[in-house]
Amino acid sequence: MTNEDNNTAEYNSTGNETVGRRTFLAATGAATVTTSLAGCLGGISGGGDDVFRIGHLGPTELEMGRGAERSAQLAVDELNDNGGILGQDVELLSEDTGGAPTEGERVTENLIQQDNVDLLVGTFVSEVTQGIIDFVAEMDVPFLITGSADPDTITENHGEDYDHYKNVFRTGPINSDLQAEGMAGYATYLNEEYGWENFSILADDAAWTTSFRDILPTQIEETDGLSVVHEDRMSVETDNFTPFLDAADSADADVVFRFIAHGGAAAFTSTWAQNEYPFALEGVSVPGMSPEFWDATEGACLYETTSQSGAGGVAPLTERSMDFVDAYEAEYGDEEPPSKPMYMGFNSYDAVLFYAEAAEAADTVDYESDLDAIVDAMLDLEFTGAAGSVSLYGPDSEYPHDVRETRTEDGIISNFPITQWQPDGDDGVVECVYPQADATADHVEPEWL
Amino acid sequence: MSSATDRLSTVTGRLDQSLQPLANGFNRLFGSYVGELNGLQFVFVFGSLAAVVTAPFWGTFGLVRAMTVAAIWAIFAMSWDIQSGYTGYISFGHSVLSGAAAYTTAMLIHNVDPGLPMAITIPLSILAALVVGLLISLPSLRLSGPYFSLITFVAVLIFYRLIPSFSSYTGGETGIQSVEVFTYDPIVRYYYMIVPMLVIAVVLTLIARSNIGLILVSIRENEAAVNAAGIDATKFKIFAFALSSLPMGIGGVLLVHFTGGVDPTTFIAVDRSIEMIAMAVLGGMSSVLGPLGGAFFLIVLRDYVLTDLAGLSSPARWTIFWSLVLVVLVFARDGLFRKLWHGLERYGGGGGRP
Repeated sequence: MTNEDNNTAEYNSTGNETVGRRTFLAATGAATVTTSLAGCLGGISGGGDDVFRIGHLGPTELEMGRGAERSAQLAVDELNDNGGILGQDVELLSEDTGGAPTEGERVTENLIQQDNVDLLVGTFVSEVTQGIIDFVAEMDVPFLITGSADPDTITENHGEDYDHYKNVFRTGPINSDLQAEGMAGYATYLNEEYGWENFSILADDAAWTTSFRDILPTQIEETDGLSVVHEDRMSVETDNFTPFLDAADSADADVVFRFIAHGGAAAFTSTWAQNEYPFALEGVSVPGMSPEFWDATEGACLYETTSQSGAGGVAPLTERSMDFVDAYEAEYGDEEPPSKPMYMGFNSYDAVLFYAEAAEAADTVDYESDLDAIVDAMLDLEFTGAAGSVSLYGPDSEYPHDVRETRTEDGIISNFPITQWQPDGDDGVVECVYPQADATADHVEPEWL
Repeated sequence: MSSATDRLSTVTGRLDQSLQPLANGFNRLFGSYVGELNGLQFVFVFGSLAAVVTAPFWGTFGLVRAMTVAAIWAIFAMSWDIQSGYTGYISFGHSVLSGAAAYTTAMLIHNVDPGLPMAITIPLSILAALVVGLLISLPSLRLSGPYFSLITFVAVLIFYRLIPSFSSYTGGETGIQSVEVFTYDPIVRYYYMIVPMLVIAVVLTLIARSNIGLILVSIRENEAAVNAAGIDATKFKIFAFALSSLPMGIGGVLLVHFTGGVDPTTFIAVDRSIEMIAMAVLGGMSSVLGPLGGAFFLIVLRDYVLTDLAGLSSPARWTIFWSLVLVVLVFARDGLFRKLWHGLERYGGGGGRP
């Protein structure tokens, strides 16, 4: 502006004027008026009051985030109906992370610095969690992860500087290392049922799938007769899955375990179903957890399975599960999707109630002065949620502050059940197929196999 | 219309007259370096400066955070402008320069040694931005017209695709999130960004007002004439790119230590280059304060007004953001701040050019 086109370079000031007292006063007054006026706006810090605020973080424009936000709201309503937390009213503030680390940082800073939240719940994308975790640790606000499963979030933080990160927990889902173990157990089950021996592993190129790429192959091959015949990773931008499916086919796979969390999942499923590839489609598909996935794929998802905490809201995992799902459907069933809470919904609902119970036990929510009491109460708590029972690993374990896996009598991991789309007349229905203790139906193999 | 302007001018003119002596004081000292101001312009520049410098004491958290981000983007927009705005060689590849610096920092920490001090990573990262800047500019600046822009555009696409190809070093599409931030204190952090921005603004203003700036503008106006005058235009175009790369590197380093991580979408994607251009264009190209103002205007609008105040969703925010840029391109092609600046000049009466 001072030099828009270099035409004003000439210097023509006479240099002899003196500044009169009056004009000087007027000018300095005008120059400083903005600053002095604004001085009373209060600045950055806020104050405490008698409301317990929960900040919820998730990609709320996606079904998964919306289901989680609604579920957290249901938990808050339930708390308020029962007198709040330690007599304080509870309020939910929900922010959209957009699934992007930078946006996640922005909204998290706002929640903590401006809204003075007493608890943070949420985060879906593991990279978003990693992006905010140092800041959250610095600010000491209790943070319960309810969506992302990347184990490094725990092992690389709590494992190295426990005191700094002790306000961070994951109350669900179980981390990807444990999920991989669960998946290996499922592989054995499929082998016993159908004699399938050859497995292919296709994973998104993202943090949460590292365990499935690193651990799962070895674990599958530990069972006699099972082998991993094909592995590949897919860019999250992939929209043409034919090469990956063809490669699995040529490797003679009986089962493709795919770990996929992005919009391409529908295309993946459709490619598989339309070409009737000679293998079952199993693993984890986040979009495939949507109660509306049948319509989204026009039924192509028939026979595909996915693992998900909460079992799609179709199985009474605990005495709380169906009450929660019913409450969700009564409140939100007729609104935009999802018509059921989805896995992050289960975990968000459980996290809020879990924290409330821990706070009652610790008799404080003042994390600034009593964080240790709150942490101890949380580590001691055995809580029955809608997705299963929630208890946390202690400071000295491999995954400090991470949710423990629960196991059936046979040692099978049970709090990451597997659901399958099965035929229901002309329509499709989600059934829980594994582990058998929670199953609502038997696993069905694709009819073209 | 003109009589209304005249009537307003009599009031503002008088105000300007009373402020003029202050501006004269400034003009006497600095006018030859940065240009002359009339009274209104003086109050505008120094009032804005005072507001920016004191923001943490009166702004809300959301506003100050938006201004912190805006300071980094102002550096990007000014850097883009000193090259593209002045020479007229429009670069679509500037996000690669900031990305080079940010990725160098993150990769040094991630792949070499997590304990590397900033005293080592920061200079190396700025140097990386310069090297990448030269890499892009050397082959492309011998070309003219649209070919230069196309090459810079393709450079972004290539770098964007290289990142997942070397994912074991670059963290792939999800990036590296283990970079240490400068500080979490919102006030201190604000000055970490504002001070470099002001220094860069002053330095670039001095350069732009010097003969170098004059040559760069001449290249835009008539490159053949510059060559005919015995000045090697290509050399100056490369110089402009190098000059632009250094503050781009500084901005990239600030941004990576602000967010605590890198990923291709936040740092490299061509959208980021277009945003720099949008800020410079909206503020007013080929000026230093224009891009600076444009960055503050757009970022505060997007990250504070449309989010904290209006509560709009992310797609709605971006739609408004880009619509606004479109409106400015159609109706105020010289940029909002230049319009404002000339308005101040006109309403002030004396002082500036007739």
